[in-house]
Amino acid sequence: MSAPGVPGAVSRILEVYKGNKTALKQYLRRFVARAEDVEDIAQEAFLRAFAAESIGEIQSPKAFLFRVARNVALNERARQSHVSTVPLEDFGETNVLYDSQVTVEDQVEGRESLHLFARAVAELPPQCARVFLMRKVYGLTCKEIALRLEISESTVEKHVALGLLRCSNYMRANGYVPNPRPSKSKRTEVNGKPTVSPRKY
Amino acid sequence: MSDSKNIVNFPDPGTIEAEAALWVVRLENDKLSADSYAEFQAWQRRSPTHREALSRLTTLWSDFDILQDLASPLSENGGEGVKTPPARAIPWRGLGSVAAGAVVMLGAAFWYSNSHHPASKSAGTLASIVRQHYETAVGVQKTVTLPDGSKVLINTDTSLDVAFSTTRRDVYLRRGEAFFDVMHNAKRPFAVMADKRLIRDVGTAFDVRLMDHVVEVAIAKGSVELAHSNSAPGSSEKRLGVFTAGYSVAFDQKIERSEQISEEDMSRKLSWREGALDYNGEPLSKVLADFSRYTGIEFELRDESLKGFPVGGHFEIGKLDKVFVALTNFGLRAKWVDAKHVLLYSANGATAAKAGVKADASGVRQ
Repeated sequence: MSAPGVPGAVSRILEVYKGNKTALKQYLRRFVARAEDVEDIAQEAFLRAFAAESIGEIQSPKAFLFRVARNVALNERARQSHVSTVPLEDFGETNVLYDSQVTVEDQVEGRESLHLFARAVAELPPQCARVFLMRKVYGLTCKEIALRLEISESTVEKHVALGLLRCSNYMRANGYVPNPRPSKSKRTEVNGKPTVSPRKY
Repeated sequence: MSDSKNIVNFPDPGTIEAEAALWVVRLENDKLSADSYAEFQAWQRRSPTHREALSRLTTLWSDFDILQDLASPLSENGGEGVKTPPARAIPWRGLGSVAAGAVVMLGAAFWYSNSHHPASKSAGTLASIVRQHYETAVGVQKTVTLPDGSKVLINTDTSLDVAFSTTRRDVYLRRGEAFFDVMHNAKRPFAVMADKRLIRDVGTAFDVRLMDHVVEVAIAKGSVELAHSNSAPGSSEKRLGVFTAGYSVAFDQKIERSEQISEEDMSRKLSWREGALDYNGEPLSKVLADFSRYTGIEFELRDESLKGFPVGGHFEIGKLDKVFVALTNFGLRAKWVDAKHVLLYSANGATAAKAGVKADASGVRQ
């Protein structure tokens, strides 16, 4: 793995993003129906590109960032048109049998949540954000991250922990309450595991 | 993003929150040493505040799984071109409705490029495809109801993807084991793909376990059709036959083994669904292999001759430590090498004497 992840190496995506923020937003207005969405989409695109940069090399960061942004915007537009053009009566039982669990509110709520989480990460220092994203977006282990970035595993752990702590503060400041685990889901604790286990359920 | 380059101010180690955050991260490490683990136990015993901070940050940490949606569509075939996303909306399940641990892929072109999925090509512009991803950690089981009302019981350490359209219901078992109770609908066939092995429902409840070289299917009711397929359900598949309730079948490119098993054996096979493991004289090596699946603990037998040792009994999955008590009754001793590694030896064997440990089955881990 070359340059992108090496500590100290400048993130080309970050540079491009900072240097072209205005241009990017102008570009996005072409695809985005609601002006108020532009900021979120730009940020989401940046984080996608930034995370992608952490795990692979990107030849032309600017073109890449703009392409990602366009795709996010088009996806968003498709989603919105889907949401708004489906007449209510189409939500009859037969038509939506297969996605009866997915309500329009859920979709909107989901997007908003994503953007809130994304904003929290965007507030982190670059290297911390990078490590956090490698862990969360791509599911790399701390050890794998350490190897890629050529830093110690314990430094990676500290970065992730710091990221989590800061994100926690950010989320709390924004009124976010961690999503309680549904108690009905069957969950079996195993001997040797802590009662509050950080494993994913 | 702040400009502070790479200077990171690590959290003040004095604060409980910062320590909790670090434990959340460290405990995810499979290779956590026994010492660290003991340190953790001591830490979380210090006060309710410690445990609350840990619990809150643990929950928040899994909430951040939502970021998986940011996995960017770097194309897999060399270039970095990002394909235009599919022009259909993919329903998104909000955080509130996501079962714990369920991750939802929203417009993840990354996933598109990685999974040859005929449904995504043929679905047309109107149809939505519901995609969901489910995973369980080691030792965890989960019941989920799929969008069509079918139920899936997901066993320990399992990963599966669901892709439902108006015309078909495809499930991809990536790892592990699951039991499917299918709402039959001939117009929307239900198929489970387990790495090129295909199980198609014909009005059924069945169990699929993906193993190293074969897939094991146990049919509880109805019948299933088995096939081998190089890509996805429906395309160039080699049909292997239809099996009815009561059969246990192992297959890969061909049927490797099929047997009609007694009702009793069937319910033992499926006992994991009730959160328990039932044995009736199975060899110790098999029993330990099962325990490993549920605990992530590796067992090593000092004495090869113990492998065939017949084991019977009913073990609750959440209380597998009772196993150690049972093993003691069988004249075996357990020694924890580290948090993930147990050495078993015969109580009166030479190895035990050499190891010189006094086994304490009940107090292995508190």
